[in-house]
Amino acid sequence: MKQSLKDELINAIDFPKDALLNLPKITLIGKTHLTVENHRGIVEYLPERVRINSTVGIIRVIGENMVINSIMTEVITITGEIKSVEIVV
Amino acid sequence: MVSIKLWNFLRGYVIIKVEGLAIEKFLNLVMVNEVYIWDVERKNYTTLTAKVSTKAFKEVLQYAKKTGCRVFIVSKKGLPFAVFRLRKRKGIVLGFLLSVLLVYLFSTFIWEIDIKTVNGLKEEEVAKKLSEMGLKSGVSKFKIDINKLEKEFLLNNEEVAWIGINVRGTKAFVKVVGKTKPQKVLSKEEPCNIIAKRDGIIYKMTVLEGEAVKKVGDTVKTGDILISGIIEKPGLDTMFVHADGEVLARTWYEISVEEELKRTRWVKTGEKIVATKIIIGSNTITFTPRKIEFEKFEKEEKNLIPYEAPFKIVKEVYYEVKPEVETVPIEEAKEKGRKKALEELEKVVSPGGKVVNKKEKYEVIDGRILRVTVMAEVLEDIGVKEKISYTGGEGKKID
Repeated sequence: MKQSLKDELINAIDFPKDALLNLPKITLIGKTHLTVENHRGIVEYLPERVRINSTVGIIRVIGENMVINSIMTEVITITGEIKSVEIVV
Repeated sequence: MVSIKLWNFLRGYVIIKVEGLAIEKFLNLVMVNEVYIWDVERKNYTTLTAKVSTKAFKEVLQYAKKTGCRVFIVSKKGLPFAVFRLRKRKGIVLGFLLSVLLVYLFSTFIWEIDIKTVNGLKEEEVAKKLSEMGLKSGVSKFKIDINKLEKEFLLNNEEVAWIGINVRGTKAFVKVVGKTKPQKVLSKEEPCNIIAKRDGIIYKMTVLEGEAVKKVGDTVKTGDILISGIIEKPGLDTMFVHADGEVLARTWYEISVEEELKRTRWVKTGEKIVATKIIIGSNTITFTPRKIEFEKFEKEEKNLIPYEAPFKIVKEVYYEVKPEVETVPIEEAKEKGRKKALEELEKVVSPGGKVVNKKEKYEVIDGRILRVTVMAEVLEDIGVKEKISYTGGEGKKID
């Protein structure tokens, strides 16, 4: 592991990892609301499939009648009937 | 969320339709430039609808051009656009404001007066008096001072003990309590006799003032003087006093009550007609499926609008009935007759009287009528005060 020292350090000081490592934070509320913080833009948007770019890979959301509630540089909110969330590297 | 929506509404926004192949690219461009865009919905592969604020719209147009998309405005929403639209239709705004003003104005008047009276005061009279004093339908709420009105009403009306006026909305609720008049009692200084108000045999006598004329065991007739207020003693002037005392006597009562043994009962035949009435003010519109041709019927009314409205819808059901003669069981008639007789007895016996002995007699007349006779022996105060009308001038009044 290349970053092992950095990882260990962060583990030691117990800091929120999404802020320090620039990782996306994916929050799912029930099966209707999904927010992705720290994203890198939308790759694909269809009512049944949304793909969002991030530092760890592409986040693929499968669902039905999905609507992008709001898009901002930091946060994307998706509502609709969400069936699965996967991270495709 | 609600606050954001409200803010968007206040600022005004447009619903846009974006057509093009590189829609994701367009979205990313919008996002990167920190333009707020919301409710993005993909309609099909090449089109998308979204909402964007009026100010950001121009910017969005720019990015669409860059990504080769076309933008159409579907509709304009929000307060600024609504105001703009209304500016062209001043009549509506004016009408709306006028109606609000009218509603407010009319709610400052009293339109209805609801009067409830206690102790036998006439509602119409109270309404008349109140309207003379200023409280009538159509008067402004600001013009009447309720506290003052209540006080004045009490001062002007001797027979009223209490009045409460409550204004709720456009309705004034008035409650008036009348005075219960005390029984006329002879003043303590008035010379009087105590006479018998009923025949009877004196059982006990307590003389507080005056001279006993009768004694215990005497049989008295109605009108006989029991305790005299005129005191005559040899060697002394005749004195007139206010006779007082209690004269308990045995009295007898016989009360007859007749009870029908046959009674007709109205039985529903099952036939019925339902009529609907619409009552607007004093006008009535009636809908009936057919003429009501029943000889005898029972009517059942039901108001379909439970609250108070200017119009009423009443459902009336007419049930055909026919008479049916039935015999009342003798025991039931006896019980009923006895109760009635006892009630009658209670009415005639003076308050405080005690029934000592009681006998009942039942007889059937013609097989149709049951006569119940109650004979009662009662112990009661038979004394009643009667003013002395003295003609002689020799008497001296005692103070």
